[in-house]
Amino acid sequence: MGIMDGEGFSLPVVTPVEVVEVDISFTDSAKSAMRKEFQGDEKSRVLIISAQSGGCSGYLYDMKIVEDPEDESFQRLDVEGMSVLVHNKDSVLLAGITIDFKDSLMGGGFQIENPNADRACGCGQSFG
Amino acid sequence: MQTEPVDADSHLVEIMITANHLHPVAQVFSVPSSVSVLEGPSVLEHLNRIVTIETLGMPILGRKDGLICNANGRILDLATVCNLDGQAIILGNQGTGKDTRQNLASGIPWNEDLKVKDADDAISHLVLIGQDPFSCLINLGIEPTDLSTNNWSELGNSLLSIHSMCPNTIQILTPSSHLNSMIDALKSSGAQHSDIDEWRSVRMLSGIMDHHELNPDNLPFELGLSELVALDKGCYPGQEIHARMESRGVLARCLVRLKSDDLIPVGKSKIENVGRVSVTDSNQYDEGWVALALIPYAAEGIEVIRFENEVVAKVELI
Repeated sequence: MGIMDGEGFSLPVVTPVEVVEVDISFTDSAKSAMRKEFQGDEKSRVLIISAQSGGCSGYLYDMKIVEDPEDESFQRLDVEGMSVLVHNKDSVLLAGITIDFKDSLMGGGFQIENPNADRACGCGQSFG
Repeated sequence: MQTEPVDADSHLVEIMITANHLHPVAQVFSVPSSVSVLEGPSVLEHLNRIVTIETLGMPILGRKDGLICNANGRILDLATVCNLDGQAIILGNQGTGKDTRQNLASGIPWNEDLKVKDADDAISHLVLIGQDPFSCLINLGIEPTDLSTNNWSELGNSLLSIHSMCPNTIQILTPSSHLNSMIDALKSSGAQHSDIDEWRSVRMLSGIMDHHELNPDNLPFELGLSELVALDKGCYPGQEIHARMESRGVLARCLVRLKSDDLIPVGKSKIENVGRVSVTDSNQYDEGWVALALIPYAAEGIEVIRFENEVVAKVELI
């Protein structure tokens, strides 16, 4: 588009600069639920815990079990043989969290307690 | 100012009934603003997680005006969005760009290839405002019917659109390297180049809000900005608070314009029989002083406010 086409029109890129070392605690029930989700594929797959914009409070948690991206931008934790990855850009938001798992039909699933959050949404998925 | 829509379905073409406070043709102002660029295949999805309006499905060169709010529903920045192909320009308030860009950058999902760029110095924001701003554009090859509040029109390497808060106003985004030539072209077409201090009066007389009002002291509904909030789009920061305010339908304050022969003091005052009045900005114009202020909603119908220093200001609804 015209406005962005000028010669030498290169703009400074903004990146979150602060990176901290991430430590995450898992309760026994969370470890057990993770093990079940890995379905015996702990060697090639990893759990990525991340934060992204959204939700009522500013950020949303996301947890995905995926093929190992083998990307040095992630910090890697070993949780009893399961690899848990947190991207450096999310490190400030996720350092020090505790992950629990509640086995109940209503409001069950993984629960995250985050010491960095000033507030959390009632649904538990959003924090800020 | 009253306006009468002529054709609401296509382009916004309106007849100005009273705009006597404005220049008979147009004035052009270079308005300090923050400009950010979001680049990548999922720009509209990422913006949709953050701003108060729905950005999904915006056409190329589409325009939407929204807000960026905090979790308490208070305003952090204006977000006037221009969707380009794989890029979006976000026009915000003066002085807020750094925080808005950090907000945009910190929440990018790890698996999305998005870049946030600082265009504060590279792209300039011009405002063309008057009783007949369109006449200046005809000479430059822009037909008034090409312009609307819903899209941006291209003029060379500049983008033009009608301001969502005032139909007498054309916003122009232009590369800063072309700023002077654009101003010269507008001057050649009848516009008067005016300084930023005069802009403060003109914008208040025209009901255009800026960082003096669009800041964390205020909530969108108090400023009458319900059209910049989409409560049916799903979650965004501040949505819970906005939804609660909308469902209860009770506002504590509302925005009004004040006019006086004397200087209207900026800041908070407690006024007898009115309550707490918060004057956001005040400036002199050719008929006296003009200001914008938040007053208790219960005092909305009041005709004058008498400040402690005996300054008397006439109250106008915006």
